[in-house]
Amino acid sequence: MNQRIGLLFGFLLVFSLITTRFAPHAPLALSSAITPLWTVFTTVGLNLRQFLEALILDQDLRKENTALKAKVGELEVKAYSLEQEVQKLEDATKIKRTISPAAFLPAQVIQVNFNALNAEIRIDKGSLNGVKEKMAVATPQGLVGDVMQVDERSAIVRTILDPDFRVGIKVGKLNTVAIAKGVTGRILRAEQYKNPKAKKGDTVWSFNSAGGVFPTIRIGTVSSISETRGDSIGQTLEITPIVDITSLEQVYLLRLP
Amino acid sequence: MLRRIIFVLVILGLQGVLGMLIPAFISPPDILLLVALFVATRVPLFWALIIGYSIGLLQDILGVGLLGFHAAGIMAGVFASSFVRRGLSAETSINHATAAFTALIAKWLVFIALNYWTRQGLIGFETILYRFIPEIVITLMVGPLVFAFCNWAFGNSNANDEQLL
Repeated sequence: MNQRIGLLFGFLLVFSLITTRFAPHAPLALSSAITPLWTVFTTVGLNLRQFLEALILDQDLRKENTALKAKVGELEVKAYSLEQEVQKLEDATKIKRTISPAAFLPAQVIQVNFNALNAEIRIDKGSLNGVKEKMAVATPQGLVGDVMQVDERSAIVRTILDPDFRVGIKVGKLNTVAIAKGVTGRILRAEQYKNPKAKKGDTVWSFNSAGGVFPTIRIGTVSSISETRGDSIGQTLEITPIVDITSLEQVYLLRLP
Repeated sequence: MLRRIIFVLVILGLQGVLGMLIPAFISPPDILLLVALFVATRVPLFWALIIGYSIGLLQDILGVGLLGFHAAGIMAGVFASSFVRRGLSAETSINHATAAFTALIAKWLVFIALNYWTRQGLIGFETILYRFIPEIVITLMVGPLVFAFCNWAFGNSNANDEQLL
């Protein structure tokens, strides 16, 4: 039995040695009889593989799409941030041109304190940045207030709507001067204004007086004119601020002359 | 009979499909060798060698490779595994795996010998690294499934050591 098996093994091995060396490929007639069936299987396999590869590619595309969407989101945020920066720079240019050609310091509003008694904001610049008390604070639109208190890294600005705020004013091109103060956190009021030519809608400008050192800056417009009551002579002007004090983000500190 | 026809078609189909489905850098499992090893547990070794050689020859024809290359390899695998099986007492999965491992080693030894004989330079160090080792691992992994499928087609067997050498 063992010999028979050994002989068979040896015979088949020798047969393989001969065929692999001298007849390396199967006769075409033989292979062509079997290959059609085999082709079906290999085609199925190939299609399956391509299907799986397509699925994987689809997954990759989805991942890529998600990553790109995230990237677009980031870029949108950056673009918005850059737009803000451009806006600030435009504001800075404008404020330099229109309000104070002198050097100035931009500051972010970091806290707002509006209540029945006060209308103040806190900014992110302090004495370390060169901020000093009584510095005028403005936006390109107009006056915001003055610096009331300074510490190293921040400062409190008393806005024009604060009851303690005082500023000298002129109406339009008239030379008459009066003192305006903040009232109830919504308007400014100037009493004893002695020029009957002032009219509703006139622009009100700051004038260097009242203890503050202000360049000429637009404050607002005259919204109401009435005769001053009591013994005083003149008119009472109510002034609507041109700057929306409640929605400030960035302000500019004007250097003291 | 129907089961055996299905078996042949599925085995051929699996070998063909896996060959295309698995990426080219991974060697597909040698399902036909596993089938030959299963046959060797059911028929005398003399016939098992002939069947193993025939299966290998079929693989050569299907793969359009060197005629007799896989045939000699599978036959050698069946022959070598018969020695292992003779030394093992029971038909367990571990014993099947050991026999399959031995058969794969024998098959590749014959491949190397034939490669030297034919002077075709088919097998090099990279072939051993990227084809031989993955083939062993994947074939051993699918072995239990193929053996279970064989049992489904041909019925469960009992070890018959008298049929071996």
